[in-house]
Amino acid sequence: MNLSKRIYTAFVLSAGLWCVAIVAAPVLYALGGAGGRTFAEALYLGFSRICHQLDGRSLHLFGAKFGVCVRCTSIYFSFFLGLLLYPFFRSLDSGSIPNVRWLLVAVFPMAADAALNDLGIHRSDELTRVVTGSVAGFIFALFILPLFLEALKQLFIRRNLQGDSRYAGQAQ
Amino acid sequence: MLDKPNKWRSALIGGVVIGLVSGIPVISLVNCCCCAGILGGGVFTYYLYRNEHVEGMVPLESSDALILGIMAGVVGAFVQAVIHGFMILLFAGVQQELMRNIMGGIIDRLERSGGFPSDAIDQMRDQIERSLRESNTMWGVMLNLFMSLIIYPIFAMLGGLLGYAMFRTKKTEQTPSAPQ
Repeated sequence: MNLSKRIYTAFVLSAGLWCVAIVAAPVLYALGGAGGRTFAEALYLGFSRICHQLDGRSLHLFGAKFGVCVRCTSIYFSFFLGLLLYPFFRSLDSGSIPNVRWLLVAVFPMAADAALNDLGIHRSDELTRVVTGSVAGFIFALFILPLFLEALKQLFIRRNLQGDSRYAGQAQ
Repeated sequence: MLDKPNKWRSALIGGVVIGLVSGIPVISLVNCCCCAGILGGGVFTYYLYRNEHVEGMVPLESSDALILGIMAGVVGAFVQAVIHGFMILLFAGVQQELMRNIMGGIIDRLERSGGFPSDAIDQMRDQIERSLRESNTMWGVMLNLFMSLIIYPIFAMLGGLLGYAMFRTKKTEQTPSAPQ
């Protein structure tokens, strides 16, 4: 397996683990007994740093809410989906990213949905949160994956070059 | 060719911004939206670094953005923990009461606007009360720092990469071809 594929696999596994943790929180809370409940509470505590976790705005499993709200869940799961689908559309070594305007497409509908809801102009519901969050997460994946792969490859190459020059110095 | 600018200056400024946004009560609520404050801090850090880069220097790479984001995230976690500890030392009781009043006012207004269901409002009240109780202990400060040291560098790194995507120009930044 080449370097790009190894980094890609590690990145996808990490993102997958993050998504599993979001779903594991309610499962462990409801079915995990005392130990599972403690672990679930630790997961909820960790996710509370990045999400409001409001009960009325979260998906539920076995009567317990997901680790993050429905919008965040959509963002993370579609980000994961974007990572999985990426190699079917572009080579991992291409390093190319979409036009920056796509970031506006990612952020604007989500921000508008949240802001207009808070201003009382439009009523945001689960469908709008899922759709806008999913669009954002998927587009973010198309930007972040190639740049992350490129960045780590640069760091690996630099480290290897430094290692080679050190050995070359010792040989002299 | 000249060397790239030192990363620490931008990372420290970006980290302080992340720490302030995440540590100051009420403003810190911005992080409830998928860590928008931390992501934004990562973007800002890369923007600062990019402004220090002048023609004739080694071109910027995405690895610079990645490292800058991580550095700013670590700095931000410590700054946020210091602000948190400082708030407790100075205003333990007063701050709790002040926060309770401010948040109570905001929640009352949200309730009156009718934009939120009543169970969400109750949940919000419970959550704020619980976080106010738990945060004002030494254990709370340490746990807060531990969590921040995991989450902030990850999200600031993603912000740094997004910043690289937003501010890169083909003229100054090049992607070296990587070996297969």
